Amino acid sequence: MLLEMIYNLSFAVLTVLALVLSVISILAYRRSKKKKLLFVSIAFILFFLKGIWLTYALFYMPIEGWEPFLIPVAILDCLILVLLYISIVKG
Amino acid sequence: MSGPEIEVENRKKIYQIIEDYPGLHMREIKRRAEMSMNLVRYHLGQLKKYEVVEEVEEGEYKRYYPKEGEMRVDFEDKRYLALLREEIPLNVVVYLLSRSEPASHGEIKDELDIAASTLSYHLKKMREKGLLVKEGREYWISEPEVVSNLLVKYEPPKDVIDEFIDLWESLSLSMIF
Amino acid sequence: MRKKFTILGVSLIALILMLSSIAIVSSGSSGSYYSSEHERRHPPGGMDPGNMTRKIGGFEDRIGSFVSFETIEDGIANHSVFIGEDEHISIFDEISVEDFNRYDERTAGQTHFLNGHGAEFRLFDNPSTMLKLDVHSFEGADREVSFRLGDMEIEEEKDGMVRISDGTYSGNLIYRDVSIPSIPDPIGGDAFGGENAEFINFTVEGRATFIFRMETDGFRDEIVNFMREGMRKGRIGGEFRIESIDDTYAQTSFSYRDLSMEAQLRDGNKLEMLVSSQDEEGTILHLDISSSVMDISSEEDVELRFDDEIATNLEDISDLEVTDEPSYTLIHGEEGTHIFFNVPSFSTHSITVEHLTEVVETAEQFFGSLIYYAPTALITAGLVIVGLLYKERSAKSRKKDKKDKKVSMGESFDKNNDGELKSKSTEKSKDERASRKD
Repeated sequence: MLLEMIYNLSFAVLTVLALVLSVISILAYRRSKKKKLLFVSIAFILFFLKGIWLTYALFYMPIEGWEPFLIPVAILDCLILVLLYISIVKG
Repeated sequence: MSGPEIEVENRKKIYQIIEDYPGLHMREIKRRAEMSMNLVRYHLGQLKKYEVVEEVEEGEYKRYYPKEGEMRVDFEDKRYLALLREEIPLNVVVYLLSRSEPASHGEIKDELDIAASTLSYHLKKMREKGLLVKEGREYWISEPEVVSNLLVKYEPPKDVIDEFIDLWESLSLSMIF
Repeated sequence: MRKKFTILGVSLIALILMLSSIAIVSSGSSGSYYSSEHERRHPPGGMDPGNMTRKIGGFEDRIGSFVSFETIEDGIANHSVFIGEDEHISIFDEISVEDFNRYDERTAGQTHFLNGHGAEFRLFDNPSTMLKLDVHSFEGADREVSFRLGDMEIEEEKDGMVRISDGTYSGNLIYRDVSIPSIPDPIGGDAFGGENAEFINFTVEGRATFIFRMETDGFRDEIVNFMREGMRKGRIGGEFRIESIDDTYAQTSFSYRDLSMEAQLRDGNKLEMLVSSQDEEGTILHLDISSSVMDISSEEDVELRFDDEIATNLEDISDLEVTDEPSYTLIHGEEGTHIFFNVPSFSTHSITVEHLTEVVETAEQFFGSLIYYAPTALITAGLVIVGLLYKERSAKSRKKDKKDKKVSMGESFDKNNDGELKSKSTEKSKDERASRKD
């Protein structure tokens, strides 16, 4: 019961915030035209997609077979961090 | 920040001092600005020229006051602002403001050190927006005072997007190393 | 700024709508639980079955979970049954056998044995409150057997059976191989030891068997009759009951004739029983399987085999007779399942009752719960928007403050300076701008 609540709350917050940050970063990129922010935007978009995926898993995947659905999450996390890293390193 | 941007920053700084403490004379301004006398003199000259500040002689001192007036940003001004955010147009404007006369394509090109085609593109855009006018083969700012004022006085409210940009700009390795 | 918020707002609303629809669609298609309810008939004001099933009988000092009694010289006394918290009703104040002379007494699980001179009591500690008494007389002399009723009264008499009841609970005293009982009428309410005392007296010549059984199964009359008649006429040869609590199983078997029943429960769902008798004649067996052992909800759930061959299921209990074909009827009782099984003949046979465990499609469980997700998403969205709006407002007010500050400072200085100058320069700049524009 508690576990259920934690998953639902955190995935809801995660997805909404990721969307908001995606929008902000896209607008920032458009205004400043800096490549940095392009990477950041893509990173947040991926974060948002991760949120969508997790939400889908939450409602569609039975608890027993949950582990496989974390694989895309792991991959997305790596991509996100790589992109953020690039955005920092890029002058 | 590029050269012109720094120049604008400095000018803004001096203007801010004048705005906050109207009636200062040059030496006092210099002290507050922590800049060299030459630089202060140059910027004051520019500000005076485009009627952003007013110089009033009082006895042996010359005192400086901000030019009063509501800083309303007109629709046209907004178009200028958008352009002025871009590096090359800004550089062009700052360069032209520093001169007392129009400049040719070649002169601007040499000053800015950019490709001719790039410059043509931007000059055309600036003309279309009404920021520049062409007299013969030379370019000049259509409303130098307005542009000067805009450059110096106008501070768009920093919204969330700007802050986001600043954040990621500051998040660079140069901060550490 | 407005445009930005519109974009944000619209996309958030779209997101939430999309997610909600996912959730709603998915919840509709979730696996259904296996569930079924089967009708349980309650005896009118009957004993609390829940209470019954939680206990397993067993006497201790003549006090069991369901039944209690005392011993007297000629038999037993105060045979009572518990019907609730500390509540009990007395069935027989006394059961006495002439010249009983008890010489042995022992308890074996749910059964308590009392052995006397040519007579044996068997008391069973279970909801049916079974009681069996075998008596045989000596050298042609008759023996008197007397049942003195407790809280119950005689309701019905039939050949081989007396039905007693206190209005709520009923029981049947069945007798075999003994003459019709003599039931004295109470005279003036004071006869034979007390108000409302009633006796059922028997005179035994030869051998006799007395079986008392409470009607607690909540059966329809049809079934009650079947059982009663079956016991009375000897069609039902014996009763076997199995129940459990936690991991303990308890079985009791009562035989009304020469019959032995032994059973083993395998894997919690297969009851293997061996029945044997010296008497070749077939009989009907009453199997009482508590729901604590097997929760049988429908006839399709069980498979009965007689000597490894599938037995026939008869829909109607009235069709059940001692025939050549091994057959049975299944009836749901108050707290278990009753199977009446026809054993065509004897020597030894096996009866298997298997509860077919269904491949229950456990409902797939999901972590997803719209009750938590949707409001959280909305609240987060709301907080974010509020935060951004607040930021915009505070930025505007800061700018406004700054402007005000500028104006006020300017004014204070202007007072010291030439006021004229200010207005002049303003006008001048305005004019200049105007001319330039032209």
